[in-house]
Amino acid sequence: MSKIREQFESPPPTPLEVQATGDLKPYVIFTQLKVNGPYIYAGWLEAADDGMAMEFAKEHYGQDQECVNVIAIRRGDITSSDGLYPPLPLGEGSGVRAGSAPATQTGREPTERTPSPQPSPKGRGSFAVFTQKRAGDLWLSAGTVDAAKPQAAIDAAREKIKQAKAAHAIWVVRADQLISTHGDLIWRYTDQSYRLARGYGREVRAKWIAFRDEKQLAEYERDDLQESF
Amino acid sequence: MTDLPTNLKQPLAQLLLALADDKLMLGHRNSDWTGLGPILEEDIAFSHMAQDEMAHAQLLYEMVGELTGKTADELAFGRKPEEYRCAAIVEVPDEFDWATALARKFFCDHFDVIRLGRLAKSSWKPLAERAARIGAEEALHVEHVDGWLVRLGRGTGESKSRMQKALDALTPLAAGLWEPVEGEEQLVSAGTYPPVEAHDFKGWRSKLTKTAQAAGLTLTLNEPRTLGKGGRRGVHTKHLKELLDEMCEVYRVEPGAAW
Repeated sequence: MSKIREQFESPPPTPLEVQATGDLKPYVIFTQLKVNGPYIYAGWLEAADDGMAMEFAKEHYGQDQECVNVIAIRRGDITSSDGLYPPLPLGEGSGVRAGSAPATQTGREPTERTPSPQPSPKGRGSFAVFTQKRAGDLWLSAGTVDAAKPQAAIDAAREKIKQAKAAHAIWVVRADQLISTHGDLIWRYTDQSYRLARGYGREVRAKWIAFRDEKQLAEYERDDLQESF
Repeated sequence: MTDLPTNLKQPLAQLLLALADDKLMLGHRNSDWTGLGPILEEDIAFSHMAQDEMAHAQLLYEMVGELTGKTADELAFGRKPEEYRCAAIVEVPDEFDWATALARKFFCDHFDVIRLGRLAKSSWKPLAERAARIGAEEALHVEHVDGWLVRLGRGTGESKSRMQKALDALTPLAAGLWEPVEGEEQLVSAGTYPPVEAHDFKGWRSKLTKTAQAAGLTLTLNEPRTLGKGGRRGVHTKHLKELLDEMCEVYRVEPGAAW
């Protein structure tokens, strides 16, 4: 915090009258680094609605590396084979979400639902499949399966998708519930790797090597002087 | 055109300084929100965007350095207040009011998209290429701040009234962004800073008003008949000196220090 702000002692002129409602929802984010490549787990975030989730997703995960697409998935839309994310009761976490994204109200469409085949009369639909090879590994997209229900989609994935057969865990999400940028991305032009773990490591390493070399040179010069004079 | 005529170097340096100084001060002000954002994700995003502004400023200072022979650090930290070319709206503190921080970002980011859009059409290609690239990043900033304005405008009665109050407070300063730098007309006529359709005051006002309307907020921006001497000519608010005293504190201890 700046010194000017530290000197700012008075409380905000109009304290909040509205109590926090805790209405943020968790989303998991996947990034696609190249066309036709897999979607790779990037991390979680919390947002008030789908539009905000995608803004954060693009900001946090889409701009520090070149990638062609980012998708966000509500946690409530995931069904996990390990039971960590069971399906929500009927009517929740599925279908159209009314009034979720203010951006839609402006006429802009910053995010789009991934088009998917319409469910057949029997209620079947397309499910996106994500797998984790071993516990702790990154989640990767593994394709899609058609099924009537999430559990059936997990079973179908185990049976039909090679990547899912021996996977430690599987997530399935109805394809029409994926929130996608559809390529509306741009990564940073300027190097800001200093604020990433990888950039910090590289820079600090370079500085320590320079420091070590400088120290060694000083020691060599001192020894050389002692030996010579 | 890759070689810039000699007579355009000084005006262009002034124009790029105005752009860079706006970005540096805005980035510095917004970086104060690190750790204090309204929600964790926004805290991170707002901090990133503040760093974007500073990174853009560095890029632009390096371009000015090519024209003037000074380093980016000398330009960012080594000038007297009257040598800066930023507008008043980026100088004033927001006093920890989130709506004020957003309103300032709203006016400035939309203006940057307009300004960078013009520079992207510049006949001086090195400038056009860089302006186009950082303009694309700035467009994401606009999308982000517009989203917040709409959410707060359509949120509760309190969020709407506080957002409206912040817009009203900063509107008189916003027009100062349009004050021309010395020699700007030369750059315009030479095509270095060409006029672009809809990239003028009316285009800026139209975009701002559209978002404000979507948010249920009112915004009245009148085109200034004349803009007196302000930040673009080195006439600043008292807040700039305070900001510089803090921001340049370390640099002034050891101006040539390398990190």
